Amino acid sequence: MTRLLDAWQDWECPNCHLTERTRPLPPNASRMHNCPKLHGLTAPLVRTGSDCTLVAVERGDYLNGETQRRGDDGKPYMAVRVERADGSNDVVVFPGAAGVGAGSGS
Amino acid sequence: MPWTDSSPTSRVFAQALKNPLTESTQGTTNLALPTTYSTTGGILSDTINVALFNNSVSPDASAAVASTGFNTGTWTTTNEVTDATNWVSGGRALASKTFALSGGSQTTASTMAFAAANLAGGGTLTITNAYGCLVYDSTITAGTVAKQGLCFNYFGGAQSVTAGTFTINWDATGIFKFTN
Repeated sequence: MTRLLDAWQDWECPNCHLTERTRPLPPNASRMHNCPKLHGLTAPLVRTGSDCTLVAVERGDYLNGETQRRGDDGKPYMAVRVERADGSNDVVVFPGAAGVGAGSGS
Repeated sequence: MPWTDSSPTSRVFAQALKNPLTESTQGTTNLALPTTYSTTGGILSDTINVALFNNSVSPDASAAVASTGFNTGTWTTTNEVTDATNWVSGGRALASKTFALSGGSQTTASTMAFAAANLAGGGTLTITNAYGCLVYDSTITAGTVAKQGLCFNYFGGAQSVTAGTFTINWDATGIFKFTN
């Protein structure tokens, strides 16, 4: 008799508590969502039970009209960080868009 | 001047605009495409890499073409930020590239944008103080400059990762764009 194993991974957002269940993904693969508790920014889901926090990081430099990701609060954000209790972290960065022409922001 | 003093901080290289991005306005009789650049598929066929850099670079969109390639001008490997395994020197290649027209009306601008899938490291990595990235055509192997830069994109400040994942989530309007 062959026993078939049904494996899965559980994901959650510690901020908005969205949960997902997926088939096992490759190591270090990320699941993203637009987090309503993180100004609507694209943020990673973490493995369920992870001891971590998600924080949105405002742009550290002046904008000068450049195109930069903004949250639903209108502020420019440059990253979302996952800070873990063991000192490790993940980061999702939001680079500016390079533009040419009227109103392109460059 | 470094990223933090440049303005604007995300720009298309003027020399990339001239050739290859708008080269077709002159035609190959008047201006030869960069060596080994794809004559049929352009940047959608070429390998476009993204390399990370610290704040010691001096991003200059008006730089001479010879100074816009990866490991030339200010974009040398001494200023590059790498991980030994999962974001090595030279950077990582973009996937799912598009170059598409969107929007526009009699009263609003249209945009022609180069976009690609979000880019993540190959696994757990450690990156210290990456301030921005150089987007370059790795298929261009010779001529005035190899691995010619197309644009550079600022991260808004220092970005570091310790034993985690590093993901670039491109702006919804594209990596670079032309607006009329």
